[in-house]
Amino acid sequence: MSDATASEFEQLGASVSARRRFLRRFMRQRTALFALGFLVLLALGAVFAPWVAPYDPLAQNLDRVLEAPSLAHWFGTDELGRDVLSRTLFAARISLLAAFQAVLIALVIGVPPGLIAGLAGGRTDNLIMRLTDALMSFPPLILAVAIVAALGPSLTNAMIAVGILLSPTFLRLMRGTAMAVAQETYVEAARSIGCTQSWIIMRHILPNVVSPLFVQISVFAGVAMLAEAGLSFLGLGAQPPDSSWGAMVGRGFRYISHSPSLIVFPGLAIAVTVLAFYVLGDGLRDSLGREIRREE
Amino acid sequence: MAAPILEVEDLGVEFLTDHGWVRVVDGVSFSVGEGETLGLVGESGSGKTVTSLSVMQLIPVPPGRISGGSIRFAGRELVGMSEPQLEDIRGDDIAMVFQESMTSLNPAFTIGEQICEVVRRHRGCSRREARDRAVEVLELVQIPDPRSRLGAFPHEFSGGMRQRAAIAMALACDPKVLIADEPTTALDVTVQAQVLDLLRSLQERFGMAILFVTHNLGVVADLCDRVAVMYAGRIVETATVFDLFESPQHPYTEGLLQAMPQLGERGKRLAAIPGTPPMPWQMPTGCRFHPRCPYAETACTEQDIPLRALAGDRHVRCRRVEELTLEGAQ
Amino acid sequence: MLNFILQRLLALVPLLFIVSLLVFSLVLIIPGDPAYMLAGEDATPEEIAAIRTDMGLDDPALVQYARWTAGVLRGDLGTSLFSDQPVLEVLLERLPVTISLAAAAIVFSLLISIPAGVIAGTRPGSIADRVVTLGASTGLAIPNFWLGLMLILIFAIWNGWLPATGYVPLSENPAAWLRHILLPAFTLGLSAAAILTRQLRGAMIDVMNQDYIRTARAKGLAWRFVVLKHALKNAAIPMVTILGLQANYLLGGTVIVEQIFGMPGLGQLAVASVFTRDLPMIQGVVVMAVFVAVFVNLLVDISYGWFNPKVRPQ
Repeated sequence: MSDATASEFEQLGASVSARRRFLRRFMRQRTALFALGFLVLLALGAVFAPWVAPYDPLAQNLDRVLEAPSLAHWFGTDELGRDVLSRTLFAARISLLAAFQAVLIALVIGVPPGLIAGLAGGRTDNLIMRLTDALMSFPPLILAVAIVAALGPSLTNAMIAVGILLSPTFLRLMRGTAMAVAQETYVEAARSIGCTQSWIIMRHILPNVVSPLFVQISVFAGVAMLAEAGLSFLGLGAQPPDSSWGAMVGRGFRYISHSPSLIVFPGLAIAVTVLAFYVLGDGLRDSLGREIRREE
Repeated sequence: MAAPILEVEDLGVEFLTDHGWVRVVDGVSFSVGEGETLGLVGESGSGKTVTSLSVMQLIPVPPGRISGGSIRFAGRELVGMSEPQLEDIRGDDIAMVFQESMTSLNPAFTIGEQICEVVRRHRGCSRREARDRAVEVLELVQIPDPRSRLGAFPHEFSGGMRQRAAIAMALACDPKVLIADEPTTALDVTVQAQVLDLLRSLQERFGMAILFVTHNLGVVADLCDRVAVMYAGRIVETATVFDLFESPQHPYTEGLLQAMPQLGERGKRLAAIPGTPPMPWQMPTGCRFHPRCPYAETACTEQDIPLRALAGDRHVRCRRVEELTLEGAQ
Repeated sequence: MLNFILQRLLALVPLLFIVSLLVFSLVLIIPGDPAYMLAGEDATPEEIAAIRTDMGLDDPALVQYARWTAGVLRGDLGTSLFSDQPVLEVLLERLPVTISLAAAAIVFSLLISIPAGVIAGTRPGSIADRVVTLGASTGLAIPNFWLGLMLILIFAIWNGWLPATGYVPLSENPAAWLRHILLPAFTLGLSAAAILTRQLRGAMIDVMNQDYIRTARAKGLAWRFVVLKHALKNAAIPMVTILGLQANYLLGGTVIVEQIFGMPGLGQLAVASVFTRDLPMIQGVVVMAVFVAVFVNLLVDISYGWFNPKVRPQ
């Protein structure tokens, strides 16, 4: 008993100071902080779009269709004379929300089986990992298209598909951490004195996995945004009157030779936002320090 | 001593670290005569490996640099020589065998390919001639059935076999100088003895000079003609093997000898040298060994001690050399 | 070697079994009744029931699965609900387009990533390294459909240097094939190039610090030679693994790229089939895609032995 408490205190102390070190390192990552700032601004812009946007994104003006960028319409107008800047701002809501949704679905699908596989081991682990391998042997976008085909084209269905595609990585991360932690002597000791499985998960596995999980979430938010944009571009994601950046590019495709600006701005918005998620992820990873990075 | 083939004079090597430029080799001088074997002895971190890599001009730049001194091979200055000229010398006139044969042979190429490559580089011969030469040198290092072994990969060889292959690779172009950096340290003791025997017989046969870098004085006694002892980036004593073992003149050498297990003295305790070698960015003033020296006086801490020449071509870096009588080994 | 390949194929059996279950289960999760869709809106309940019996939709799921799998094993992937053609026939017609697109994309990504990764990885921290690293991150963030459209805009619409859409088989006219495949391959391959560059850079940094690089230099070999021969072959080992993974992504990416560049491949077929709700065709595309992906990964496994003798079968 005394052994378990002693090492438990060490563990507690270590994780607290590790988190503080992590924060201190992260604050030194200028580009990552910049990316985080951009993402926060973007989220604010999306939330307050009705107040920020210069026009109603759905207001048509058939006298001024497919206009090039001007002072009145910074990003130009679309085929129905709607303001592209306003539409881009409103589309940010859909794009960000969709990415968030997909990552959340991936977490829900991936984390519990990962924990179970890592803690249970043996046959259960084997079965779960076989399923994961099979899932990963599909070319991802084709699988997503097939899932959307079965469920019917809608943004939610598209994000379910993307969530399924992203879940194996979370599953593996959780499984790896759970396996490593389960073998630690203090967990064995805890188990031997009758601590429950859920106590072990809450107390020992989650604190260990939180930081690498955040790295993965940040990167996957970017990946999910790209996937959503691709599916919406194909018409399999956001359906009118809703519009995401990818859907905007998909609609603008038809007018590519007349009004390139219809494609350029939403596309840039995707690229910059995704880059911000990646840079943030890289910054988080670099802040984790060597000891954790090596385990990946 | 025979005519020197390799002369190192006042060599200084620095590395850029968190503590700025740090001098890890400081004023090292020695020479190796034709057909002679010089042992370069010291603990890890004493600068012996950096010294041997400097001879090959292979210290990584950056973070390292040769800050001064001269290295001459057969009278030709190697410091500042152009890279293509150096490449002509490396592997041909001066060859090197490294400590870890597992990591120093490329895992992705066959043993034969790795030997042929150096032959073709320096001899400019055909593939077939290079293969014949590879078989020849593998035979020299007593690898059985060498022709069929050409196609083997390093991981298919045992540790001893790999080190033999590495020696074969070094000998492929008949070098005049062989630098061996702890070539037996990673091997089992019995295999160690075999590899040392092999090196000795090869030297008797081909007469190349050997610079043998090691931390193991026992190996030195076995193989070397003369010894240079390094401590904290400096040479503290040079002597013939016989003189050094019989009457060491530097307290550090004495310490090394005392720490060496000897046959027939089973009851005697081995005396470890107290303390640890200094880090190169916090060298002690005066004699660098004084914090660990049982004979140190206040004067030893005050100023740099020069390397002094003694009778019988010996050198020692100790200001109390006349007063002290140090204990040797049998 | 034959043994090794057989072993690999055997190991695939459970994987393919699970894959077949997943693909088949698409039928089960589909909302609505395929017979209803097939019969059209004006069909009477009797007609629909007849179609149901005809398609075997009344049988238990397990029986349906067995029938479907047996068909797949015989090469019978069913009939398109949309065109009444056998699915396999349509797939085989379109497969070469997708394969040549993916292959061109891989070649292109290697042409970029090898020099970029070697240059960055042998001089970490240099300006060249920073440019390459930043370029790789950007390449990963750019959506491929957007890149494709920008390329069409620049090279086809504004300059007219290359065709915007269409496809010409390699066997018919190699020059025209190249002109048609250039933009799609670039579009498809850029993200793979970015990933491979990052991977190779990291591996090169690692490998250049290995003892055997020093040994090679000690043999008098020139730096450039050591990098390109001794370092690159070792650094390629992790890269080959990534390339196998990327092959999957590239196959997926063809869905979008074929759509943009109007290429009659599997990806375009998949999207078209979603809108016509042609489920047998979608299942067929997925089966074919998995088949190709598994085959590519087998090739990667085999080539792995050349780079890394330690895993080579004895």
